Amino acid sequence: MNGFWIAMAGVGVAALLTGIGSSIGVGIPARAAAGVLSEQPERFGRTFILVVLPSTQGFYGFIAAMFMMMKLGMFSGSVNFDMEVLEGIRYLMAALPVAILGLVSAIHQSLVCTSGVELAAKQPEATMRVVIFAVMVETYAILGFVTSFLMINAIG
Amino acid sequence: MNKFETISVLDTKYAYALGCIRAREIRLLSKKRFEELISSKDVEELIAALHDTDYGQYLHSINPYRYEEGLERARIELFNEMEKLTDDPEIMKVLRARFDFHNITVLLKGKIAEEDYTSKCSPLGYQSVDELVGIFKEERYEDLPFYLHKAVREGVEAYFTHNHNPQILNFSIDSIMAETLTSYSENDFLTNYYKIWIDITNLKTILRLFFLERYKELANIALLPGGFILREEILLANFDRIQVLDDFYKRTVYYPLLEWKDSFSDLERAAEVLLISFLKSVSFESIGVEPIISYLFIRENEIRNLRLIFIGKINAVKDEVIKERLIV
Repeated sequence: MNGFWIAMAGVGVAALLTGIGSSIGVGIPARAAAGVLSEQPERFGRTFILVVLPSTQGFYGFIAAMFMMMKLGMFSGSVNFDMEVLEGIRYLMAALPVAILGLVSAIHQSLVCTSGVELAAKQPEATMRVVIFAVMVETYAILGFVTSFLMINAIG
Repeated sequence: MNKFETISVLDTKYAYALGCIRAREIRLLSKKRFEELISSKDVEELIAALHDTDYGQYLHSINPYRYEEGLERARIELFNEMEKLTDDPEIMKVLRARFDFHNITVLLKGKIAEEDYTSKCSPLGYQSVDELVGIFKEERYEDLPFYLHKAVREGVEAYFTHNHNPQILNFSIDSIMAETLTSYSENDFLTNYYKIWIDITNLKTILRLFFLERYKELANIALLPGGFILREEILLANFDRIQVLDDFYKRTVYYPLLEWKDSFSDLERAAEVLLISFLKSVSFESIGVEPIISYLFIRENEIRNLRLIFIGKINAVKDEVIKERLIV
C-alpha cells in the first residue's frame, strides 16, 4: 500500500463526511422552512439563518481537505507519490476529527435548527435564541476543525 | 429503523408538513378566544366573531342556523389538507377508517330498515360514500376492504343471533373497528392514542352497563378489544359492584376518571381532557408525523367546541354552562 493514497483517502474522508452531514443538515430545516414560508412568507429572514447554519461543517471539511492537499504538494506540483505508509496514515488520522465531528454535529445541529424554524412560525422574536443554541452545537465542529488543522500542521 | 434512517427518511418526509402545521398552530383558538366567542349575544354575533379565524370562510355566507354545514365543510377541508401535507396514504387510511366504520354501520342499518340512510354517512371516510352505497345496494360486500368486509359479516351475524338488536350490531362493528385501528397503524403514537381511546370507551361502557344493570349480560359483546387494558382482563375481573371497579382501575392512569362516575357528562369531559393531554404531549416534538396527527385531533376538538357554542347560543344556554362543557 502506498502512503500517498492513504493520505488521499484522508482528504476524501474530510470533504465527504462533512459534506454528507451538511447536506442532510441543511435539507431538514430547509423543508421545515418551506412549510413555514408557504403560510408565512414574511418569515424568510428569520428562517434563512437557521437553514444555512448546518452548512458550515461542509466548509470546514473542504478547507481541511484543501489544506491537506496543499501539504501534500498538490498545488505546487511537488507531490511525493512514494510517501511512506505511516505518513499517509498520519494524514488519514488528522482528517478524522473534522470529518466525524462535522458529520455528527451537522445532523444534530439540523434538529436544533428545525425546531428553531418551527419556533419562528409561532414566536418569531425568539428565533435568535435558538440560533445561539445551534451555535453551541457548532462549537464542536469548530473544535474538530481546529484539531484536524493542528494535526495536519504537525505532519512533517 | 435505526437513528440515521429515522433522520434521513422519516424527518425529511414530514419536515415540510410540520413547518406548515407550526405556522397554522398560531391560528388555533385559545381559551381566551373561546371565552370571547361564548360571550357573543347570539348566533349572528358568534359568526361575526369567527370571521377572522380559519372558520370564517366556511360560515360567513350561510344561514347562521345552518352552522353545522359550515363546520362540516371546515372538517372536510381539514382532512383534505392533512392528506396533501402528509402525503402518506397509510396514516390517512387509519385516521379516516373510523368514518368508514361509521358509514358501514349506517348503511347496514338502512339496509335492515329498508330505508335510505345515505345522508347520515360521513364524507370523511377513506372509502367514498358513493362507492360504499353502490356496494351495499348491489350487496357486493366482498369488494370492501377486508376489515370492513369482516365488520359487515360479523355485524350481520351478531344482529341475527341476538334477536335483531341494532345495539348489538353497533357493538360488533365497533369491536372490529377497535381491532383495526390498533393493529394496522405503523405509527406508535397513533396506535397508543387509539388504545387510550379504547380503554376510556371501555371504562364508560362498564359504568353505563353497570347503571343499567346489564353488565353481566352485555359486557362480553360491548367491551372493545385492543386497549392497553386487555378486554379479557376486564371480563375476568368480574365486576359486580363499584368497589371492585375502583380497585381494578386504581393503578391505571384512568383512575381519576372514576371521580366523575356519577355524572356521565362530566366523565365524558374528563375523558376528552385526558385524550387531549396525550395529544399535547408531542407539542414540542420537532420531527416526525406525531405533531401533525396531534394537530388534526386538536382541530377536530376545536370544531366540536364550536359546535357546542353554537348549540348553546341557539338554545339560550347560560354562558357558564357552555364554558364548563368546552375542552380547551
